Amino acid sequence: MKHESLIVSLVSDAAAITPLPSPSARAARWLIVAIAGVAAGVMVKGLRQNWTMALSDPGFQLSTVLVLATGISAALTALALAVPGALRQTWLRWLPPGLFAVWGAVLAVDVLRVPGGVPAAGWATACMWKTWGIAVGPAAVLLMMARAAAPLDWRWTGGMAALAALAFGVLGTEMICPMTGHAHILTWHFAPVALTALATFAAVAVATRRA
Amino acid sequence: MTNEDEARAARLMTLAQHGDQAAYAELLAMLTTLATRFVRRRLGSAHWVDDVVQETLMSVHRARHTWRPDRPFGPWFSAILTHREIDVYRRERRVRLREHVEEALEAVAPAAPVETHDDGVVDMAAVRAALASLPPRQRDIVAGLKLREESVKHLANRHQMSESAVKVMAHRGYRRLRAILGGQAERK
Repeated sequence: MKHESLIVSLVSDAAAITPLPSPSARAARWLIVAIAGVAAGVMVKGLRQNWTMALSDPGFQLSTVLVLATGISAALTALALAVPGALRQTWLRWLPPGLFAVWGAVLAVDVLRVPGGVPAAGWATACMWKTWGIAVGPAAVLLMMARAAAPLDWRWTGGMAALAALAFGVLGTEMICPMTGHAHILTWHFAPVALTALATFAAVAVATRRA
Repeated sequence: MTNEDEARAARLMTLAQHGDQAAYAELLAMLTTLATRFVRRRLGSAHWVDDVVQETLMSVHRARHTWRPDRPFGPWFSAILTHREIDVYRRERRVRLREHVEEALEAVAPAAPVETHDDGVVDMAAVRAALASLPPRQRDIVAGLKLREESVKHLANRHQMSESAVKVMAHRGYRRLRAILGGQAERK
């Protein structure tokens, strides 16, 4: 097909369109969905009984700030990556996983500092399911929002969308789960999010390569 | 992209987003020139330069709602162009690799047994029956290349596909035919 014929066919298909709002404006809209998801999860499962005590714990405060920062920055990155050329500094895409890794490192250090050896994390898959349950709705909405733009690299867009939704999922779990042991939080709150986000990245990479 | 090009492209895209088709045609013609120049500078005279340019134009069309007039046009366009260039390059590499594999396979197993009778004559009825099981477009491409001796370029024009896409579809068709004819041979 000659370039001229392609241009003619594209022009004939070109109606007036409304430009998408900026990624930050769209991320703000998604935040409403994510917060609603967390609120719904907490309403269904109930707020942890030691909530007041947790709020005054500096470790919990730091965790909450890091998880929130991860979720917000990952959502913003996912939506910015869905717009060609909007995220010009490549290093910015490493910010959300970096923030999340800091949370993991803080938890790991706390686990290793416990006197008398590394404590057992126990078996608590329920926390993992809570995180996934809270994250699934916001993840679907964020992926639809990204798809409505024009992602050029679905691996990063998908991975960031998963990380954003899972960060809010784990935020909800932190508000529900009364366990305070760092080994439990590292194993059943942090690790499932990290592994699911990585798995999403890998699955999308394989799917796009096959396509 | 010079500052002048940037300002002109932004103005034309703004008009195009409001439904001005003449401005859109002018923009796409301008982007064709810019993309061709850019890709030729990087790839030289590679035969897939036109594929990159056309895929870029299609991506610009699909993504035109993501450009906002308050944002620079150059980075938006460059991101699309660079990604499409990488995509086409990878696809070309896969096609070439597949061609080498196919050639190597043919060298090892020169003919599927069902394709010839005992006297060495090609069983065209079996080939035609196998061809009929392919989807219409793939059938036309395989038949065009192998029976009517049409060129890849000609078939690409007829089906409004890129030449690489025609090659990929043809190779998938050959593989499917080989599987069908091979299966028949085993049953015999």
